[in-house]
Amino acid sequence: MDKKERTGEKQVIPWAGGKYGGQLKNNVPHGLGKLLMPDGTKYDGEWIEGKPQGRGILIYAKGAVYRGEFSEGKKHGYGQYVQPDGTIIKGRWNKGKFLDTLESLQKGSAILRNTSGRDVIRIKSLYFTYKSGKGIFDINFNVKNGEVFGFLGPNGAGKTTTIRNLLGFTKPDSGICTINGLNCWKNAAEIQGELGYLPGEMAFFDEMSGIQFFNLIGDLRGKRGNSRRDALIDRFELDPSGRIRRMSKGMKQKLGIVTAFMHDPAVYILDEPTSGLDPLMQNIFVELILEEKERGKTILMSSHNFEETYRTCDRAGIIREGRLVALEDVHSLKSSQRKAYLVTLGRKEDLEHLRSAGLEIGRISKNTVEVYVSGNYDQFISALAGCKVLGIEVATQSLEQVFLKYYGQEASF
Amino acid sequence: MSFSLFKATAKSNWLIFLIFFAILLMYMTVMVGMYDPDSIEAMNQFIEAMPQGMMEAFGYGDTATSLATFMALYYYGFIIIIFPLIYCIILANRLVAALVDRGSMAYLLATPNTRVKIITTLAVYMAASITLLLLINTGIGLALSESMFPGEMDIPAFLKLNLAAILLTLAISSICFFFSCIFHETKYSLAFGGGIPILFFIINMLRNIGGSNQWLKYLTLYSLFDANAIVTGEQSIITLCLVSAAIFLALYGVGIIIFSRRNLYL
Repeated sequence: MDKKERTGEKQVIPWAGGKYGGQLKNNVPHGLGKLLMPDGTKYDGEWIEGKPQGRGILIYAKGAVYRGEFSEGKKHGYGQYVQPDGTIIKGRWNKGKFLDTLESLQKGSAILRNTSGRDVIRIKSLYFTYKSGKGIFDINFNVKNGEVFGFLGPNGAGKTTTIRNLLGFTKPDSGICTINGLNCWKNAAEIQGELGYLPGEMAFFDEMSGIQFFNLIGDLRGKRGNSRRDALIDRFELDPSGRIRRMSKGMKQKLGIVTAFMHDPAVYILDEPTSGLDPLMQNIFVELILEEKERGKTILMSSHNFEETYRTCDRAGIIREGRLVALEDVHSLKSSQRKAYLVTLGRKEDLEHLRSAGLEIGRISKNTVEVYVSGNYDQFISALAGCKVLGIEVATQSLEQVFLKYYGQEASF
Repeated sequence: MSFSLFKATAKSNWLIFLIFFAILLMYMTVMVGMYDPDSIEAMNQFIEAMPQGMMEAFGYGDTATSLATFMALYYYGFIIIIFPLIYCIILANRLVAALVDRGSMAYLLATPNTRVKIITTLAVYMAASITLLLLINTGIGLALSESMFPGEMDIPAFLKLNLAAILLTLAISSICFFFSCIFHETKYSLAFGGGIPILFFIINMLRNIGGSNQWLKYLTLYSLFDANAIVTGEQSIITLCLVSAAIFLALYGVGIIIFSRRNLYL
């Protein structure tokens, strides 16, 4: 919903057997508005195309109140339902039905369980070996509710293998992985209802058009809510009318992203989501991830791009040769990352000045010096203040260099 | 069984269906058209004039005396075996192994449907499309022979022959489907799912030549299907129906179970 629609003039019209007051679009409630039914039921909140969609409050005739997210007129997403007797049901809803019955508590008997600390994805001593002897060995990590977790590592390190186990495509040799408490192998189908998955490989049904593909997946999921899908299509400037066979790599990746996000799931597992996207689309994708994070979604995304991980993730795990070698807060990862700057100096004596300032100096060519900085930016800047600086450039670092710093010299790729 | 997946599968595969339908229709028209009650003797003489071993290999060993035996010999002896066989191999490979090999199966499994449900839908499509193809073929055969030679066709014998052909093809399709379910790469699915039925076919050709090769009949499913003997009533189709149905149910069933429990590297 954009701002123009929100600020539309308020009107009162009869709607769905009751009285609607609020914003309209094409004579249909769209934007912010209230609906009062003859039996006393009231809805106050966001509308899209005639149906409550987004955030709102629903007050039932008998006094119960639901406060939270709606989709297509039904309780859907996160919300809290208070019955007239004071019972509070808080948590996730799906098409009007409550998903998690654990959180039904009597008012006053206890503080509602804080869902934000719950582990949504759990991986415990997970082993999976291929015939070749490669695989993943003793992987352990959890992703908390509302957390964005980056799963980093070079190609062939075991990212996709781990994800295959989470999706229930392969059965772990040993160890457990669960999503929302459900076993990933045994309850794979059940888990998928609230999961958005983006495969690492782009393989669709080539003879279908994009729209046909969306419809098929929508039907298989049992929800074809098109408003969110169409918003995503607009956002990524995707033209889904053509045959998938004829689409470019980037288009196919966008198709995969829309497929993963269109049913508004609570958990996302994304395998190298930005591969094939141009920088502009990568930014749009990062914005989308941040938005979903804001809405409390749990996200696991694999990547071999550190920058992308910094911008989106709270924590990151680094996998190498099938083993998890680091599990860190992204900010501490960042501060431990060594960055190289190419400084072009104006005077010869400036080089000595930089050396004496205790900075780590790399290659020197003519008047350009490579300076390594790992967290000690203050030192770097004050040393530069005493020099005549003609230019500074960030040296592009390969993933290997980044990893080298992170693991020390023993790591080799 | 998911209706939406069934619909989408039908949409993706209708062209192949149409091609095989056209091939069968063309041969059926040509064959019925070739039948001439008066010159059937000439046709038989032509067959006898050809090198005997070769004609026997193709199942043309006997001579025809009626429209039903004519069709049994010249259409149901060869065409109704080879083309549905090719259809089964192509379709089985496209429906399962190709999706797993390419990775697009991941999208189907990343929906709240169990593997059993997804794979059963594909199995149902496979069996249904083969049955439909051969049922239409039966209808066209009847319509053509009734319009060109009213009253000439022994309808009960023809229907019996077609029932046998449908069940036999379903049994063959179960071999293709089974191997499509258990292999990760299409090359293996094709090698086994296509290779075994083709081997059956070749063994049957060798067996038809006669002589001391009769033991070969134990090595091929097609020996159960002697079209001429079925039409003349010399051979009951009960054994064929029971054996085919058992193979069909067993291989589809085991294929579905293996697929739903195996590791998929998607």
